[in-house]
Amino acid sequence: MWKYILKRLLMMIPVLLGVTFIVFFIMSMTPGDPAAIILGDQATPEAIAQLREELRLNDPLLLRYVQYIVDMLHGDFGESYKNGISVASQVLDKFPNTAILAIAGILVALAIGIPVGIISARKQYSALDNVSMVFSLIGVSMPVFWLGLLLSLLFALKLGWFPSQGMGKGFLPLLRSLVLPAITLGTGSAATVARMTRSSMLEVIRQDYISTARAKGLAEKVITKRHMFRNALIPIVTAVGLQFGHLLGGAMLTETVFSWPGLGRLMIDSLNSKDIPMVLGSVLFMTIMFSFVNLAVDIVYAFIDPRIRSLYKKAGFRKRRAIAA
Amino acid sequence: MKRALTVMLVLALASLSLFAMGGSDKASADAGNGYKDTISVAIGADVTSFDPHVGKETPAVAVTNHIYDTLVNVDPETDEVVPQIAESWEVVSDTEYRFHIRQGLKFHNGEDLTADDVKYSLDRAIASPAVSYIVDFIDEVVVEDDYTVLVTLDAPYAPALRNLAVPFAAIVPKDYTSANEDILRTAPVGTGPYKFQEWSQNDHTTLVANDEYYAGAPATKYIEFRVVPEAAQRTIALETGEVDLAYDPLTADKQRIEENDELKLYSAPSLTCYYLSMNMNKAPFDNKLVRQAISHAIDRQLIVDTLYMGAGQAADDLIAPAVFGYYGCGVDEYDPELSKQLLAEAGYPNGFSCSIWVNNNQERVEVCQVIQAMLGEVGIQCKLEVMEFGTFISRTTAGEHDMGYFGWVTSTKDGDYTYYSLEHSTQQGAAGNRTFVNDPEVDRLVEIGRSSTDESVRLEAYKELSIYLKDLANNANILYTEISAGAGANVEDFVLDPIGYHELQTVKVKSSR
Repeated sequence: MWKYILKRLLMMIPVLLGVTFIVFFIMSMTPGDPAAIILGDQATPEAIAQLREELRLNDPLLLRYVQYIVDMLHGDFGESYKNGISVASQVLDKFPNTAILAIAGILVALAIGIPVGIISARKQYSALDNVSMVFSLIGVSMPVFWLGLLLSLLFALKLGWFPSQGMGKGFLPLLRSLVLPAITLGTGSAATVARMTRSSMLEVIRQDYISTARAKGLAEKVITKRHMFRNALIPIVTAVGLQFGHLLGGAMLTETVFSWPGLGRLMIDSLNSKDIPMVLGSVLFMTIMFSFVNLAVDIVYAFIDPRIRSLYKKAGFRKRRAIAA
Repeated sequence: MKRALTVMLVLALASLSLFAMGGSDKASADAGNGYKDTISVAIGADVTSFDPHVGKETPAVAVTNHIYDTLVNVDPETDEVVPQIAESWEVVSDTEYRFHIRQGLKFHNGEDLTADDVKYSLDRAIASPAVSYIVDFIDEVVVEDDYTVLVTLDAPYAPALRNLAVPFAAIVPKDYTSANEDILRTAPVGTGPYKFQEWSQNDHTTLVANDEYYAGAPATKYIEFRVVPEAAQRTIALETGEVDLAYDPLTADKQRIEENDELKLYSAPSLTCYYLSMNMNKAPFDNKLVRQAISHAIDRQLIVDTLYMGAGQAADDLIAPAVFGYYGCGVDEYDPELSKQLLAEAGYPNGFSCSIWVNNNQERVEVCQVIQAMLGEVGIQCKLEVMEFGTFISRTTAGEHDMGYFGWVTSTKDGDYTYYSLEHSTQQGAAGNRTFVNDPEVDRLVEIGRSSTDESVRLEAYKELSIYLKDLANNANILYTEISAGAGANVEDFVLDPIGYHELQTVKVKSSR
């Protein structure tokens, strides 16, 4: 197991290098001079030239890339072009906010998606199933900024229950400010989770062991919980993991609509101002987070499915035997 | 299953109502006199840098202009130059200004403000690529004694005082800043009415009153600037009472603010003018009649009413009404018949083909599409070419364009800043003159406006210039954008500054609306 985790961690290195390479070159080759963008409409050519020199934008592209990688290996992710503050500190400063929102969002998604998916599967083609699936289709396709504004109009402006924007300070204010963005963020994921749960449950429902369980005279509740849901869980965990990875990467629209000071906003601002080190740093961090979530999902498989657990063990056993031989 | 669902529903509802009962989110407390102790302001973007010689974007200056002062200031209501750090000044000659610095001024960190700080700050601004264009008229700053500085100029420059009032010419503490040139970016220290207290990136900035401010302590103890990038949300936050002021509401939301008895809308033409530059080095734009024909073919009011939904004003001068030197020679009348007649007189009875260049900004592109259609009506077939900003600037600098659509902010609020850059023959190309106009009469009037220290002489020169340019029609001035802010009805003494960074030290907010 540990070896497997180590291997997966090592595999992240080429992935990260690839990501930095692609982002660096896309950012550098797309039109728009960062110095001109920073200095704005009325900058003189001399000022732009001076800033280009300060930002070392006149160096050859490849040299700048190699320098970036060397610095990165020394733990230096550079400084933002725009405000001169260290990229690492800005990313780490904003990540907890995004994590809070992502966790709340995924909880909303699970709380809505899993029960809806289970009920739909159990009552396939019933009115309830059709209604749930239509709603989940709406959930998947609804633009986030629109949903966010509607929720704000209703719950903040008309009813005055929750703040319309911002991140509250202190535990209760934080929870209150979290409700609307979490629902906005969770709705799309909830729909995905519900659809995944439904289809995965439907596959299991037709298995022979379910008929066996029924024949044994087990209660439907027990069959649903122990025999269907547990066996249907693997694809659901995969879907939830992917969703969570996405949310951790910063929910740019939700964060913008609700003025949530997270990674997504940081990223949008940096993209707009062509702040290359900042974009690189945030993308790199998001990639790492995504990889970690994927790894966690793979480990969770072993916990929920004894067959996978035994595979890990067998692999270890075989290796030990090979070494002994 | 059903029971589990019921339990979940009940729990969800219970927790919802628990949070919801937390009441409204009016952040500030009553200061004890019926007024709030905090002004909450929603702004659209975060401060990029608290260093006044670096962070020059409007959202940054909207915050930092409360922290720093400049030698002099321009009163947003009367538009007159008034003392600030300098309590008085003498114009020694056309190229020498002597400033007497207010004694006893202290920076927020306790250091005394002396002539050394003034010299250090102005030199620092001149060296900064971001803001040097505001102060590069200065040749040298000489410290005469602890509280007197002599600013010498390269050449007579009438708007000198107004340039020194621009927030980018802020005075910063020498010892504090020179010890670490980057420190002001995140830990600003100035002499302004408010001290920096806290910055949470992309979230909020809090300022606290400087009770020792030379002009008296500010009316409200704290200002909290909250970053709310989504314009619709700024209005919602204003309506719910979460903020007291919301800068730059959406055009579509302005009516909602106006109709709400609990809110007020402030608006005025901004300092930005959009204009179509015609390249006089190219035929047929070297013909005055053709340029006039183009100007008369454009229905500016229609552009303002439709694309801008009324949030703007058809432009007559290159400088906006709030700028020193604005005369207002009248918007060129929309008259397609006159336009066709002028084209015929110029020898183009069937019109001609040409191109309009614009950078890839949606709003600007849309305006150009409308202009393209309007010119088509009088027989001028235009091709619209949209390009990336850098390319647009470099190619129009080289004079490759027929017509280009540009925007210009008179950030010093003085006509010279615009007229000199856009109309003087020495400023062709990169500096701003992209009509490549080279007219001795224009140069003469621009130079009088630039060098005379007598304001009435300057105003007269700009009046003549405005009338002359209307006839010359090298630029077709299209529109001034609008600047606006929404406020609660309980906000008192707020003055909207057309430049976009409003001063809040006199603002008070009643505890209830």
